[in-house]
Amino acid sequence: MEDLKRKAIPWTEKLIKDQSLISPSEVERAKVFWTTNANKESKDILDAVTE
Amino acid sequence: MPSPSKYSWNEVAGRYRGANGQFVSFERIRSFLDQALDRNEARVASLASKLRNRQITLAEWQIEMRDTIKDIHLASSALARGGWAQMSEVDYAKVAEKIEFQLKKLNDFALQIEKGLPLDGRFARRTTLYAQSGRVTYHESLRNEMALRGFTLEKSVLASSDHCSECVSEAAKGFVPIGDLVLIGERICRSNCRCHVEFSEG
Repeated sequence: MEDLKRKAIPWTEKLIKDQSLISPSEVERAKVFWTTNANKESKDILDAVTE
Repeated sequence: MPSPSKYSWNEVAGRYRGANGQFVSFERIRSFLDQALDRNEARVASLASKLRNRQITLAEWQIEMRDTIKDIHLASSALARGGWAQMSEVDYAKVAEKIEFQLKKLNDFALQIEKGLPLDGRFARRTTLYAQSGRVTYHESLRNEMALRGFTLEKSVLASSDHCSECVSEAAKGFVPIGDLVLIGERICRSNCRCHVEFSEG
């Protein structure tokens, strides 16, 4: 019997390419990723602006 | 409104400046990345554990891993580029290429799991390579950024922790033309490499 818990989503090449594109909401999520995982010293480094 | 960062970015030098006005060393920036990737590795390991224990489906694992991969490579690229405010459309397009490469590998991995790949220690170790893969993106981006600014030489510097034989031989070369070193992440120790790279205008 097929194990549905171990059934992969069939990602075609086109789907992979589409999924690799970056939306503004994903940039916001990546910002949260950084502040969640960075330490106190580095938490705000990615918020640096050009001098 | 968030308070301004204590860091600033010097576009000419391609370096961060800290609150004391001094440039932040490449080694220190790398340590910031290492800390973030190491903390996130626990989350990736937890996902692997949940899949093994059938708490989540393979499809759910794929989606979670996809999002994690995107987070890792976006943040690693932004760190090399000088922060979110400096990321251009071209930069995002370059990250998308790296994400596409990783998603292809993840897809192959998921298909192997579907076909019965044992979810053992080897599987767990393989998932951590995704968690640490941001180092490769960071170093590729950094090398490109420094070359654009006219830096012509690079030098691999050993980490204080254990290192592989290839890292030892790369570090022994001293300064060499940019592009001559085996990139961090492509050495024997792969994306677990803790060495960093320094640059010189020659």
